[in-house]
Amino acid sequence: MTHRTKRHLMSALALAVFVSVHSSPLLAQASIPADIRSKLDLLTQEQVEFLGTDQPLRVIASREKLYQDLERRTPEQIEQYVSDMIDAVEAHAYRPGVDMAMIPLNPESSRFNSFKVVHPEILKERLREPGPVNVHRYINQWAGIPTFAGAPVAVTPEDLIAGNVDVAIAGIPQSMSSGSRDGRNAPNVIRAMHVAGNLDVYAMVDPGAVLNIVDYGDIAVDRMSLERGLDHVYDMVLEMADTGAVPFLIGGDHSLMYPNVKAVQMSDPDQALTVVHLGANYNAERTRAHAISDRDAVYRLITEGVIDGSDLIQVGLRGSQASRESFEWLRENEVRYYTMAAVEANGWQEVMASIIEQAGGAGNPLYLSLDVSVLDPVEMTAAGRAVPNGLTIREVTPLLRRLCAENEVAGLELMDFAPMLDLSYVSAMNANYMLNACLTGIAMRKQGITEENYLDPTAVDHGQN
Amino acid sequence: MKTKTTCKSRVSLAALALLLCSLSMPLVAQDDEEEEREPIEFPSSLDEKLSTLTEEEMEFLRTGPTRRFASTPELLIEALEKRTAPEVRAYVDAMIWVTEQETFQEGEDLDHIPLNTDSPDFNAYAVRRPRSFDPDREPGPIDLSRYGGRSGIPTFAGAPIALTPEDLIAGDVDVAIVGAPLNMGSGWRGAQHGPLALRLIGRLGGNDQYTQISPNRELNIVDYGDIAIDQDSTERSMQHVREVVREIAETGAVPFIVGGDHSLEYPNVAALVDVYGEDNLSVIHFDAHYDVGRDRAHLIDHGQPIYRLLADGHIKGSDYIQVGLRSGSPSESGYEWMREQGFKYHSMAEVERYGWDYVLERILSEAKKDGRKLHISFDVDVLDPSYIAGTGTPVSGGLTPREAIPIIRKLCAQQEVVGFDIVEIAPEIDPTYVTSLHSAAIVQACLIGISMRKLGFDPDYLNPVTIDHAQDNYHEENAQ
Repeated sequence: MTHRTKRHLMSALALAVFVSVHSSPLLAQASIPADIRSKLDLLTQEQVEFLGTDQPLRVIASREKLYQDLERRTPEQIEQYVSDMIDAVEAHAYRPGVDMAMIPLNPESSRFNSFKVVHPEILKERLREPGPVNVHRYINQWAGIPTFAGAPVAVTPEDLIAGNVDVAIAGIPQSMSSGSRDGRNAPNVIRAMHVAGNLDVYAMVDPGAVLNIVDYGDIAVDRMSLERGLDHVYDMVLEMADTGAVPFLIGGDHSLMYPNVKAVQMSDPDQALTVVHLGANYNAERTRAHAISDRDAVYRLITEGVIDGSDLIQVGLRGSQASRESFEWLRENEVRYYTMAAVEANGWQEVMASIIEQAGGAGNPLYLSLDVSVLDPVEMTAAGRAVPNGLTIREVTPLLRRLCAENEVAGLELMDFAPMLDLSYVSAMNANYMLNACLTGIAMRKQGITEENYLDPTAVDHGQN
Repeated sequence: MKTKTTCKSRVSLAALALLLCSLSMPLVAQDDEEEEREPIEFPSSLDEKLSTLTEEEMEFLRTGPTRRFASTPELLIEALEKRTAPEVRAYVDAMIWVTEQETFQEGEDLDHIPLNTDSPDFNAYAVRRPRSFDPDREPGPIDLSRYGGRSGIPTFAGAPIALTPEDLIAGDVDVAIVGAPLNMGSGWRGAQHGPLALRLIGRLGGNDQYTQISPNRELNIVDYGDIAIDQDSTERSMQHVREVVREIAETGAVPFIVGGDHSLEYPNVAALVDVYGEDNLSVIHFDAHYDVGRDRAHLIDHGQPIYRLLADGHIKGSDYIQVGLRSGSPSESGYEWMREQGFKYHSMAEVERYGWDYVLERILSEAKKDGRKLHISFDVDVLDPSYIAGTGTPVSGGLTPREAIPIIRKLCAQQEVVGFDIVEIAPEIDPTYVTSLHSAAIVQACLIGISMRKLGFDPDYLNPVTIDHAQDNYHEENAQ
């Protein structure tokens, strides 16, 4: 089941092995009401049986609507209707000789891999000692060259090692969201906002001062294909994690969760990760025509055995892609999910307490997969797949700070930020604010502050009485 | 070209044929940046350092693609001079390594993108709704209006909708406007909302005071809905778009395709060639970009639809007129390649030198000269970004609507237009209505031109009452 071989080629090997689709067993025949059954005389036995299965529900919204349709038709019309329905169901499947069985590429191209070839340092005009490169002119620089958290820049793993880097923040500007697409601009807009890496006045800890943070630049992607970029993303994240730095990965759409989580897991294959996935959408749809997308990254991770379902915690779910069957599948895989319905029923404080308990339960390092859609669209207009009724920034930041302070963090990703959707600075600021909450937690831990729900006493009380 | 017939017979295998045909095409697929160059002569001061290099390494230095590492021979020599002999060798080896790594790596790279043919939902995105699911109706455009014209349901040009080719035939439809929300542009994305934006802005089909013609009165126009798109694959979408555009054209209606990114030019033109045959179609491509990208890992994207059409043998470079080019490419060698292929291109540099009116006349006469059926492919980024902020790959210094509208009206009036696409409308990037407004104005200009042609008007016609208040004989006197 577990599929944890270090440094294998994900795209060539893993993607060629398609995650098996659930066999959907034909459920017991639904009993068709007698008055409708009496109109089915012109149908063959197979056609009548088809009506009793779940198959018609792939093209008709519900069994009630199916019966309504049958009721108002003559037996002759029903014959045509059912025959068309069977054709329509069959038309969903692959047609040999008609459909493309694969997407052809052009291996003859002299630039086939030019998007991802990392140039050796010797090709640069001037050589330099390894280590983070400070891009600021002044001691107290405001703005200037935009970098994540205003941090120095590192380009190679040697830079990370020489700089004894705690957290390396890298952009992955892939733009293949199944919603609105602008992941391409997400890393730079977050850099330009420069709110991360600052003093957190709840814990009174300044992650920019406590931690060695670097901006690791962007990881190249093929903007026309998720599949072709997976290997490189995987290699680069693994390279970062292998130096001991915690990768913070700024997407990009949520399909990147697959190579990201896999790489962080493979950097220490024997130590299971607990993945806390915050977002409006559960992203575990059964695999479809495509091997990978933001809608099925979680499905692939679990079915391929990269992580165990029982090590996955999902928070903030409310997107309509998750049906009752979806939740049943999550339950079967022992996923701990906390929907917004759970928040509505139990209140955020109780839900948050349960999340924190679950996250720390196994004592595993945490990987945080943070889809910006976890926030309400009013505070995160720039979510590629925004859904109303989200959490507030005042609910999310304490959770992130606590998760990162009270557990070891192995990695974090911030996904599906689509800045062109928000003309204001608010989404970019809140994206940075969430990063800073986790950076603060990591800094607290480095300073030895790991007690539950720590807040600085001088921050929470004026002390005049 | 022998490949043509092979390609034509693979109509339903459109995208697979992409690969098969392109490999056997006699076109030279060459990267603009890697043009032939003179071998570099190195000064004798470098002899000692270079003596340690192997023959292969020396050959690479002299004639290989070193330009991407040191853009001129002088800079290359400088780079070698400041390095020690072992460093020179490592430097040259690194260049060779990078050049090799950029090509396909057998056994490591995917030579295709796998799909899951076992998925029961492989084609779910494009399964059509059977007629028997809905109450019986007569074939023909479906009128959604409540008050004479409109009811509030947003359709292109406020037109009735049509869902099948039978509807088009029964309605004797002249123009079927159809959305194709393909969202795979390489710049900012967001073109998936182009068709919606054009439906919501309205302003199509009504009276035009320049000509005092109302397309809705002269033409049978319908909204043909949207064409299903696989947003995870341009290649897979090409096949279905081509089917639907072909089914529209086969009824005799003119397909107006509202995109979506410019990859759509490939299925649009291929479908029209399917219907009207080879050598019967010319294409005018309005765009800031030449879209003849070559030597790419992907066989189709919005930067290479024309190359793919040529490589697959659907159409020739000499069938093309291009207008408005001004992006970073093509390079000089790219333009030379286009000249060899017979392209008639009109860059914004030509407009700067000769003025728009002069270039406009040149384009109209070139189009008129061959007198063939015409497809217009209009990328909204041919307009200046001040008029079209909502597009994925804007380039400064474009045409104004006052330049673009007349040429579209005249082209559609002077020649038989059998297809029109307007692409790269990305409304999310423009918080205002301006992008939608100008996009609609371009579509309206062609609808007016087609109406003029149907009415037998001269392409240069402007309504005499509109252009003069007639309180004096000013124009007449001034002309003398």
